[in-house]
Order: sequence, then structure tokens, then C-alpha cells
Amino acid sequence: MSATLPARVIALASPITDMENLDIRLRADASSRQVALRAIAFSVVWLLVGSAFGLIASFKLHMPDWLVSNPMLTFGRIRSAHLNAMAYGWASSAMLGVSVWIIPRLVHTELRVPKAAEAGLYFWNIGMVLGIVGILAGYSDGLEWLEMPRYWADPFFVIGGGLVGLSLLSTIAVREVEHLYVSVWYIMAAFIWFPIIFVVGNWPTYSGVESAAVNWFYAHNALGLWLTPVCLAAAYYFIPKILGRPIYSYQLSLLGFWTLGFFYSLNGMHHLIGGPLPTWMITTSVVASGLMIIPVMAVGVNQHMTLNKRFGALRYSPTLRFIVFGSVAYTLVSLQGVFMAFREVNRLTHFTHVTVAHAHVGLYSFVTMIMFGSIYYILPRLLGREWVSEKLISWHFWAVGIGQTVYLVPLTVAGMFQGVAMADPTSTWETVVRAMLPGLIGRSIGGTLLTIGHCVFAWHVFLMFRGGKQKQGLPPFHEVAPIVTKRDKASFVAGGVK
Amino acid sequence: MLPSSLTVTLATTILGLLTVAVFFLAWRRGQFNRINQQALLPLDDDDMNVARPWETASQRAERVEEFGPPARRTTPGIWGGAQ
Amino acid sequence: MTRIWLLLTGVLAIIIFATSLLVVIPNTMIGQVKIPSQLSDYTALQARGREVYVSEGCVYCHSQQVRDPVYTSDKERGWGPRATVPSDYVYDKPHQLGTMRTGPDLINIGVRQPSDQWHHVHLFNPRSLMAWSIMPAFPYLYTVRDSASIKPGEVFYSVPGGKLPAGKVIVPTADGDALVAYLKSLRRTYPVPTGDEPAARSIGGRSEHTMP
Repeated sequence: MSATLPARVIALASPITDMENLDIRLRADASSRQVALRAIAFSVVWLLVGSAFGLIASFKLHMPDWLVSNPMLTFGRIRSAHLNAMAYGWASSAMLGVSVWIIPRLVHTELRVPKAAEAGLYFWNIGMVLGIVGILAGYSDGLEWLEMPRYWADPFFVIGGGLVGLSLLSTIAVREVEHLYVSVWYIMAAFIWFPIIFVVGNWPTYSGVESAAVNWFYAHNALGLWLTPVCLAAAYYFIPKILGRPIYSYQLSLLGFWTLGFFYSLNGMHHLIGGPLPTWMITTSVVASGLMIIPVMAVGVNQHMTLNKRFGALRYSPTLRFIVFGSVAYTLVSLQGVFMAFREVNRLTHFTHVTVAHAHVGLYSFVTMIMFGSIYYILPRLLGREWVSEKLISWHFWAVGIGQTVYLVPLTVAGMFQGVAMADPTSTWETVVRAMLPGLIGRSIGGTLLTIGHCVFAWHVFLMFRGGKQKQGLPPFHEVAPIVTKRDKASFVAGGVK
Repeated sequence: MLPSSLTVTLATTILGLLTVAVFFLAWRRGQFNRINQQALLPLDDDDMNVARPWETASQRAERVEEFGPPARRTTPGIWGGAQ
Repeated sequence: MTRIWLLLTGVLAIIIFATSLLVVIPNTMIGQVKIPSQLSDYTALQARGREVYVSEGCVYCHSQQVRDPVYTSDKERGWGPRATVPSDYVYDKPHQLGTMRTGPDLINIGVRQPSDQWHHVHLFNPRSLMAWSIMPAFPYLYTVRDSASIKPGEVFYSVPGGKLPAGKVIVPTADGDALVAYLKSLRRTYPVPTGDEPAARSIGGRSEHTMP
């Protein structure tokens, strides 16, 4: 039954006290191993591809005569290739992997119809390739977040996501625990929400203002009802798992789930504030955006209280470090989003780079960091070997940590100056452009750092997959123990178990 | 061209109440019972009785009190027993 | 099992709720927007130009909407005489309202810049007209030719600002021509069509719009 797990995992895990729990965990991991590993491998490839697109797009904004002779490399195409490669290629592939790995563990049984999940993963990635090629070749659908050609790329996402969802739901249906842990709720809901909003968003009949309304209904929910729930599910799994203590308030976590589902889906129209839409639609969205404070605070307070007085753990576990970074970013980005949805703020920040920076706090500081953390936890357990180098993990963390700061701070500040300049009708457009330029250059520097971090991470993942000699005497990572990055291992070991 | 505000308000209320109703139904069917035990679902026994290096003495004592004496692992390579 | 279905129902209820509120209701409402008499559908050339606009991703830097003059400076900036309304967009599929203004709004660019020459030279290299511009150049929408090779009746443009060697001129490709035709068609300056006044679109009669 655990035949597909490397012998090393079993050998390392076997001395642990509770054989029954262990056996369940091993069976669960063995059943999801192949799909999860491939999903992670695909996602890392998309991370590199998306970084390259993002970097090119960023440099083009302050070097407008660079790479202009080929239509495939024009800013408008590279920019949407970047967004799609990151949101659907990197983040979503990684999420598929994390989901198929977490669900069997949480419902105490093997992943059912893993072949369907695997086929779903392939469909998804075929859709990605077709979509990116379509965008670069100029066949964009022209709607933000929905650029991939709706007839020859998008069906792959519906089928792919549906097949993975089918496998997950079949697994949950035969679960061997009575209750559904909050992470299970989030993941289940995400896999049901996604195909629905994706089909609604891509439906080809809308035109005019309605097309805009549906566009932003989808685009905002892609973050809120697809990326966010799976990432919160991961956070709700890994934080208690690594700390070895349950979540501070389980009620609060359920409240967060339901209110997220209830309010988030109404938020999208705040992207069109001031635009030619019925006032009531936008007002509804602004109100719903305000109500988002409830699920956000539920998650934020809960995770903070779980971690409270144990912040030392961040020095020990890279998984926890990335996940907590992501969770804090979730709270911050959501509060920022609530704030930006208010008309008086929006009149300055709308149409500026503040929005771009905000989107990156969500998709990078929250989603991407949580996925990095999850992969740091999952990969050693499925491959049966420790991460090769503490240094690489550390470089990765600091490169992306500093990179984000260098990316986000100048871009946000420049976006505010841009907004102020735009609001003043006497300032020329040259003034507006000059106001945003320092932020655009800062973003390129930050983006370069992020890309360096991604290359380090991808190299490390490659070393993991390649295998080879294992260093001896490293603190282990299988099962309970967090991966240790703290230098002073002697004191760690001594302080470990008494 | 516009529906009256009453129609919109009614539609919102009815659909919103439906969601709330499903939520309470799930509650009544027991999905929200024994909440504190549910919170333990991701944790296995061996997650609980291993002390963490960042924990203070009192946090460790708390752990022992709640989950029993810490597991002792001696196999090389196993966390807490590395050479 | 029962609980699984309960959860599924709850999830579906949420999604149906949101979909109906934000998609279906507006569909019945603004799906029936009357076509303004002053607005005509795009010609074949303009429609092709719109496809170029979409595939080159112009929307990522240029919006196509004039917001309420009460709380934005869009009107004072000269982007349009009034806030745009739903019926201004009846022929737009997909919409290109946009969410970013790295460059100026374009919904009335056909009014502000009616000249073919300006558009072509600007698209070929924006820095030939404005040194500080960060808009990408689109040289692939043009062929660069010797001015001696231009036959009578052929349309060509010379590019200022030292962006082309002496004796060279640009001739728009079919896509370049179409794009400029589309840009010049962007004008929403007629009065707000009856029944589409901002006040008519808000609930309870209160509106922040004050435009006629």
C-alpha cells in the first residue's frame, strides 16, 4: 500500500510512536505522490517562464524602444502572458498539487481516481501552453484575466480543473473522518467555484458595459474564490501542523470561510468605480468590500493567535516562515483592498500603479509565498530526501523578501503621485508620466531580485528531483519535524526533545 | 429600464437568506459539532507529543499536560535525535 | 454523505446568488440599453482596427471611460464633455473600459486627434512627437520605404525627431491603417441619450452625477 513511497520515507517515519496515524499518512501521501510531484514540477517551470515575461514587460515600461520589432514581444502581449503564466500556470498548478496532497491527509484515506487528477493536471497545462501561445500570437480575448483564447485554450481549464475536482470530491465522499476540517471546506469550495466563474466569465455573448461587469465579476473572484481559498487552506493546515497545536479558534476559521464565500463574490465591481455602470451595482460592491473585513480579520486574528508567543518558530522552519509571511500579507492586502474600494481613496488610486502593486501584494506576497512554503514542506516528504542546502533556502527567502519590498514600495508611492497628478487637471500628461517613472524603474530592480530568487528556488527543486547523495546528519524533515534553517543545530537538537 | 429598488432589495434578501439557511442547516446536521476536536484534524498524535525547540519551559509543560510525555526518538536522522 | 451535499448546496447557493446579482440582473437591465441614434456601428475597417487594439493589449495602459466630473478631473482634462454612459458602449465586444492609465484615456481620442498623420507618426514611434513618452513603438504596423519608391497616390508619412534616416518614409500596413481608423472613430461627444441619464441608473433617484 505504501509501495510507491520511497523506502527512505518509510524507514525514517517508522520509529514514530503512533503506527496507525503514521500508516494513514503514508498511505495518503503514497496515493497523491505522483500527481503532486508532477504538479509541483510543472508549476516551477511556469514560475520561470512567467518571471521572464514579467521582467521583459517591466523593463519595457521604461525602455519603450526595447524589443519593439516583433509583435509577439510588444508590451500588451507580454504583460498578459505574464499574468496568465503566473496566475494559472505557476500558482494554479502548484495549488492543484497542494490540494491533492492535503485532502487525502485530512480525510484519512487515499486519493481516489488519481488518474483523473493526473489527466486533469495535463489538461490544465496543455491549456496553459495553448493560451500563452495564443496571447503571444495576438489571439487575446481582450478581457483582463480572461485573455486566453476562449475556444481553444479555456475548455482545457474547465475539464482539467473539473477532473482534479472530481478526484478530490470522490476522496472526500469516502472519507474516514466524520467532520470536514476548514481546509477541506476551502479546497472543495474552490474547486466548485472555479469552473462556474470561469465559464460565466468566458461566456461569449456579453458586450458593452455588461462585458465589463462580467469581466470584473470573474477577475476579482479568480483571486477571491480560487486562489485565496486554496492558499488559506494551506495556511490552515501548515501552521497548526508545524507548531504542533490546533488553530486558536476553529469557530472563527469557519466564520471566515462562510463570510468569504458570501461577500467576496460581490466585490468585483469596485474595479469599475466611477465608470459607466449602474450606481447600485458599484455601491453593492463597495459595501461587500467593506464587509470583507469580517473574513479577513477572522483569518488574521486566528493565525496570529495560533502563532502568538511562538514567533521563534519562524527561525526554524522555512515553511512556516514563508506561510506566515503570506498570511500576514493576506491580512494587509485585504485591508488595503477594503480601503481602496472606498470612493474617496479610489478616486486617487484608480487607474494608477497603486492597483498593480496591490495586485502583487495579493498574488505574490500572499499566494506565491504560501505556495513556496507548501512546496518546502511537501517535496521532502514525497521524495524522501531533505532539501539540499540551507543556504539556498535562505537566499531564496531573502531575495524574494527584499525583492518584494523594492518592487512594491516605489511602485505604490509612484502610483500615488501618479494619482495626485492625474487628479489635478492643470498638470500635463508629461508630469503624470514623470511621476510614475521612478516606481517603474524600482519595479524592474525588484522584479530582477524576485527572478533571481525564483532561479535559486527552481535550481533547488531541480536538485531535489535529481536526487543524488544525501548529506548525513541533517535534522530530518519527514513527519512532524520542521525543516531547520537555523545555523546553530547543536542547540536546536539539544533543546529538541528532552 | 431599471428594476425598482424594492425588486433588487427583495432578490438580494431572498438569495442571501437562502445561503444563511444552508449554513444553519449544515450546523443542525452536526457539521459544526465538537468544534474543538475538529481543530485537531490535521494533527496526528506524533505532532502533539514532540516538543518544539522554540517552546518555552511553560509551553512544554503545557504540551506534556495536554498530550502526554514527549516521544523519544533515537534513530539517527529522526528529528530530535540527530547525531 | 449528506453533509457533502449540504456543503455543495451552500457553495452553489453562494455562487448563484452572486451570479444573479451581478450578471443576470444587469443583463436584463443594461442588456436592453437603447442604441443612441448618434452612435453608429464600427465599419469593417474600424472593426479590424479594434481587433488590433485588443490583440496588442492597448487596454493595459489606456482606459476608455470618462468618469463622473463631480469627483474626478477626467472632464477638465479634456477627455470628454460628459461622463460616459452604458449606451456609449453598445457596439463594444469585448469591452475595453480599462483599469489603468499609464497613458491618457482614449474614449474621445478621435475628437482630440483627428489627424491620420499624427496617429501614424505617433504609433510608429511616440518619441518622434513627445520625447518623454513611454508608450511602446509599433514599427511592425509600418513598412519603412525610400521616399523615392513611393508611387503616386500611395499614402506615406515622414517621421520627425530623427527617428528615421533621411530619405526614408513610413507606409502603414493594413493593420496600421485599421487601427488608426478605429482610434479616429472613438468619439462620444453627443448628448446623453434619453433614458440613459446617470440619474436614471441610480436607485432612489439620488445620483452623484450632475451632467446633463
